[in-house]
Amino acid sequence: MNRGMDGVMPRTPRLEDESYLDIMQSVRNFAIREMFPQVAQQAEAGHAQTGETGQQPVSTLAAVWKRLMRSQQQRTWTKIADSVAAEAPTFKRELEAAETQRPGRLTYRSDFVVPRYAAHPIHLQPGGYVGDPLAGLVFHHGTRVFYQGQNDQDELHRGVAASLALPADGKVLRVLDLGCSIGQCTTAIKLLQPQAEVHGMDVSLPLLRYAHRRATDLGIDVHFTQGLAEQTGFADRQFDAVLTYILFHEVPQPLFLPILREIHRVLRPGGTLTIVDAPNDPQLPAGNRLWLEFDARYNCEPYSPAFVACDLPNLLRQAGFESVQSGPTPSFLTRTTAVRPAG
Amino acid sequence: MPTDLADSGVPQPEQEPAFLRDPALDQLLDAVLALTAELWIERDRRIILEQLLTANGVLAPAAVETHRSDAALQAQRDAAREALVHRVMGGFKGGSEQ
Repeated sequence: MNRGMDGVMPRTPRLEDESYLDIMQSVRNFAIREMFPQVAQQAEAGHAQTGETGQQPVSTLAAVWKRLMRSQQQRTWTKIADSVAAEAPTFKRELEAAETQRPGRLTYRSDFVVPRYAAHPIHLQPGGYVGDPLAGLVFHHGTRVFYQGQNDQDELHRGVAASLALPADGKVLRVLDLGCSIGQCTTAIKLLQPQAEVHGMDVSLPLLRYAHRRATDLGIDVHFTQGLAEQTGFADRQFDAVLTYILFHEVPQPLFLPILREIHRVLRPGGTLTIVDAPNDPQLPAGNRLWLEFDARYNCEPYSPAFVACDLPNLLRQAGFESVQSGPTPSFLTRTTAVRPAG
Repeated sequence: MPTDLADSGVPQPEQEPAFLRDPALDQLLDAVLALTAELWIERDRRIILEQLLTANGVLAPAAVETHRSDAALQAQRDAAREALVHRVMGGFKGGSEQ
């Protein structure tokens, strides 16, 4: 049954999915706001006792917290993935219809090989981003729980788009949203920079097909291309600004520098890079480290600790960027900007 | 190729972890979560349903309290109840011990 839209968010296939996501959000709120402060306190106390990081004794409370966080995540995804799968033919027809309705705005090759590093069940989503043809719709619904009300009308993504660093000369004719997922930032950028040709690139075709369908429904003219952040296939110097929104903590550490060099290559001199991602902090308090390590191992975020520990400003300079600046955002994320030197 | 290098660190699928001392405790907590969610989706729907029925004058409030099912509805209720037990208790069938 098509239950219509709430603004730019499709309603879930069934009312009970909506109720289920609501209560999973409540459970997650409870675990994070009411349990985790004590879990963190215990971890800090263990840290103070042993003087070690990452080796805290595991309390019963921490174990229960981990179980709840993992079960909440597993059950959220399973519920919405099953519900979407039950109406798979309808949703697949809608993706195909969008491609017929607006050809040329979604580019992919049938012989594209998804690297193994991107094929894991990220965040425990069944099939990850690449293994389920309807992963885009599943992702859009499931991430409502994670974003705690900042996802329904692209609220957080609109904020990220508004924080895009722009070239000093004011020329913004082509923008790239690298690791664009379902295109929430891509469309938000186009709304703010209507004169620009805005491109979204992602490794996942299921996410891109949904992004394309979504942009088509919203009537926002953007381009989506399947590709690798480390090897985009775009020509040299063709973008005025590049955004990566929560891309880097989802790629393995050996790719950090190659991706930054690739972005540097496709930016024109004076072009700007904006990275919105997890904060880099090699000296995390014990409580935060416990969460980070839990996420890495049990929430299928395997590459995140290496990103948190890396020296991003130094990597940016190694890749040829200058004017590197970092600062907090209204969310839990950090915004880092850099410029490809002119000339 | 940097991509080949990156692929060397891909995590391997592993068995469902047990965070608590006994895997049964993990399954129990998971079942409590499932049960809470099942309870809520039904209660949420009932709140909406009762409001609609009352507002539209379809039912008097006592009609549900005093209801007796016919055989067909009873069979439907029985099947739904069995399915609920399997959803909530499914984890206890074993297969994820460490």
